[in-house]
Amino acid sequence: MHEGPLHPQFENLDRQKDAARLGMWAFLGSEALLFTGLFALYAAYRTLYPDAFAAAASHNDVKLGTINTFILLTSSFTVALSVHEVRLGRARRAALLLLVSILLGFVFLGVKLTEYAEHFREGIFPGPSYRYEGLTGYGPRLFFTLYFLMTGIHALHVTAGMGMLAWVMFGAWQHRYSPLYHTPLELGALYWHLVDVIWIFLWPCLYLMHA
Amino acid sequence: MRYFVVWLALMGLALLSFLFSGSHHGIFDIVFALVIAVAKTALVALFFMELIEHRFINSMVVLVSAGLIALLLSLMVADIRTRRTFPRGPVPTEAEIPTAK
Repeated sequence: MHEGPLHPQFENLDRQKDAARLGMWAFLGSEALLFTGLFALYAAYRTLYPDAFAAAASHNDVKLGTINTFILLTSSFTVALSVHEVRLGRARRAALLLLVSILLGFVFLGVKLTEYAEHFREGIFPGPSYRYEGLTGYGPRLFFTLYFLMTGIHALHVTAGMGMLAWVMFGAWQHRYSPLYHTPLELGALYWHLVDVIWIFLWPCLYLMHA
Repeated sequence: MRYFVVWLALMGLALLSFLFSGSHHGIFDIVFALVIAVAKTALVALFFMELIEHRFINSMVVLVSAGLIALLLSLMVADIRTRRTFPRGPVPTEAEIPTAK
């Protein structure tokens, strides 16, 4: 067990931790506003093409989307548990829980890729490459372009989150974190929860609000 | 422990949205789905992200972001809904243009 290095500008470790947390929350706020831009586009085009969007949403597989929701919610649970375990001094158990979270992340990406493959097989591509005969017109094209954009950028964030979790997982496994100092683990966990929250909004917009 | 209870609540709410999406209630489809999404986000933020135990300034970041998101989305949708666009009409010929006398 060791305390992390106290940087000279902080009076004590608690203040350093508070600063780290605020910094992370500010970053999460900026990430949320990044996705807000995309959600704003979705809201705007849904207002213009309500029926087309509802019809296009029916074409997505609700069951796969719901499975992905359950997967991410569970991975958030295991990440929260891992922070809890580190606080109890059980760093190796925390590392194992992080491994479970990362594996769930892989499953999420796998499901996403099968969905994309199914869409590509039908000719549903983003932007001008769209050539699905079943749903024509501007509305479905816009919906699916937004679908690929939003889920694609979200998948990139999931991948980045998995990288961060892997980083802190190795740290936890090597006992670099203790009940006194586990800030990197907490901050990585916060990022993963944000990725989950974004999916919590993506899921109804792209899967549930169907015709 | 409480993480497990929160997880159960989250799964329950997700199941609820899924089941509700099968039926149709007009505008309430969207309202209900988003209300549940906000509830789930609140649970994740307060308990998984431990916002309830952090200093209030962190909650300020969340509240300000939420406020800005609400502002952007509401104004954007209001703009589009209240637009009046005028379709391009035929171009008048020389003879049809009234000239001042």
